[in-house]
Amino acid sequence: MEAGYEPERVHQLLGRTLESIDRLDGISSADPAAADALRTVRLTRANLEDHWMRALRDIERSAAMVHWRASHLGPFGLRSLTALGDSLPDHLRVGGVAPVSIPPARRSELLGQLDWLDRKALAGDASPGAPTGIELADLAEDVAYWVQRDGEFATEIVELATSNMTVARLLGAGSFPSAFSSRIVRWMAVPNGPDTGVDRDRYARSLSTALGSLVDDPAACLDLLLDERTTYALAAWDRLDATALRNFVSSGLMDGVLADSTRLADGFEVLRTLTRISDGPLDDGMSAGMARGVALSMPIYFPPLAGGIFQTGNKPVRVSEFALTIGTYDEVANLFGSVMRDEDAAAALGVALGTFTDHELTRDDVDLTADGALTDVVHLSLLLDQAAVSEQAQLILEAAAERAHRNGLASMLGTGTHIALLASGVGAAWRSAASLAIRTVTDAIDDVEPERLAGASIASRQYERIWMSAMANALDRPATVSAARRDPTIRAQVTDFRERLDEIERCDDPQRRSELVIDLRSAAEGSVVDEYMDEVTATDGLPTIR
Amino acid sequence: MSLDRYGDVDTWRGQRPDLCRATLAHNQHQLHGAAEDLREHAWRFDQQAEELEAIARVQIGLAG
Repeated sequence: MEAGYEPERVHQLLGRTLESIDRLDGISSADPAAADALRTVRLTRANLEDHWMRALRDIERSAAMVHWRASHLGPFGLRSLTALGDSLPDHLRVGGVAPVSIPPARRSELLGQLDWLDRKALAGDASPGAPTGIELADLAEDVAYWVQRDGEFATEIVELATSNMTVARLLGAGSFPSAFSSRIVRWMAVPNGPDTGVDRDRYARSLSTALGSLVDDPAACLDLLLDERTTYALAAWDRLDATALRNFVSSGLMDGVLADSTRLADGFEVLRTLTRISDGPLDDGMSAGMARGVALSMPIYFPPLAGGIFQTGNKPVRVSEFALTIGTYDEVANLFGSVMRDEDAAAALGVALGTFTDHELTRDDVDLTADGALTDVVHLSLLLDQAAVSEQAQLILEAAAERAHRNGLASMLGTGTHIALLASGVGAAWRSAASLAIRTVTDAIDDVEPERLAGASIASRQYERIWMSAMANALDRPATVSAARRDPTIRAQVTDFRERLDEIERCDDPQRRSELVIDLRSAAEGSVVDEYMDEVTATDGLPTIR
Repeated sequence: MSLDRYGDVDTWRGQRPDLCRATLAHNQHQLHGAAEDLREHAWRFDQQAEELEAIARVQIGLAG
């Protein structure tokens, strides 16, 4: 894919983006009716800050932009970076860089600056003498230049990362090759991570910065996750910044596969590793960032995974497409149980489940009366029910799945191997939409009365969703439509059923919704749709989750 | 929000710009949806206010 930019327009865009962020910041309301809208506003603002501003700042810091600003030249015109050729400094040129040894004096100077900035940072970022953004950016540019040319100097810097916390911070302040950043992450995480004697909080912040710097290279993220020791270290260390780690993990597991579907097998290898360590050293739970990143990526993995669930207990869960056994049923349930210990991750799993369920129920070729049509949904629902370690987790999953249905997330993103890559940003766009659903659920969960918790069941919610989808299908079937045309009583009945379905869809209270479903099921008995509904509810496996 | 006009392919191209545009498009859709919901909310309140006014007028008429 060609990359390029027009400097004057980029500079203008930066200003407009800042204005938009300021305006969104200024929107507020005390009216409870505006709560959802305000959440959307906050999410939009966060996306402008996290995606737009970050990308624009990276371009602004590039030498090409510095030259442009300094010389007041007119626009370069929109050309690819490769076409800019000699007008670009070496580190912006695409492709290989000729090796050059760093002069000894320059090496000493850069190492000295690294040491000096790290000492300045010891008192904290808020202290008067702390390194400034410009100091870090300037040093990052110089170090990035030489690590691409001198392999020995690059190795020296990598090895310094575990004792000088500023090294990894440079990754967030400049443009380094992903290969170099990956080396830093691997070196810091394994085996030097949780066992090191340095200031653990500074170390964690430094490593979190390094992880964040790789998010734009999903393939590099997935490559790192394939290294079992790195994955274990990241899953084990809860001091890491949860957002940075979540973004790193979802970039690898989701975007990495969206960009290259042949890497789905690699993603499952990572899940196999996590299954193994969840059953062993991480039995008490994994880091929040890892849990959230895994959960957000599940729309990609649920379909092949659900298709590999056959029996419970110690029977294997096998992804036949890759001849890969993830673990036994109990071990895979344990993995999701470990993920669900984090509320946000539990909600993300619920959103993924809701997305998967809707997709399965609304496929063009689906016949709900055929045996096996809903087997995958049923098996996955039962596994997640077993995995939910608390009633709170069940409630969160149930609520999030419903929210995903209401927000129409299935239409945004196909699932599994049928993912439609609508644009290169579809993974992040879906996660942005999923985040809104997750926030809605986790914000509301604190208001739930304790006695409500006892009634939660993922499988029950799934059964309700399947039943309602089948009912909607039943009302639209040609046999129903023609019966309604002939008989006014049937026509009135069908109208009544449609209105009740609409009422159920609009109902926000899960308990009230269940009552309405029960009422509608009673009313439907003996009606024109009864035979079809009996066929659907008799399909293999469905009575199990009732 | 008209940020999409300034951030089109004439300004920047590549995987990251595509991601930014896709995210913005989705957020704009969500914002328009939220605005529609609020407008409908306001309309319903207006309807209720009119009904209450009508009831009040009838009651005043009966009392008079």
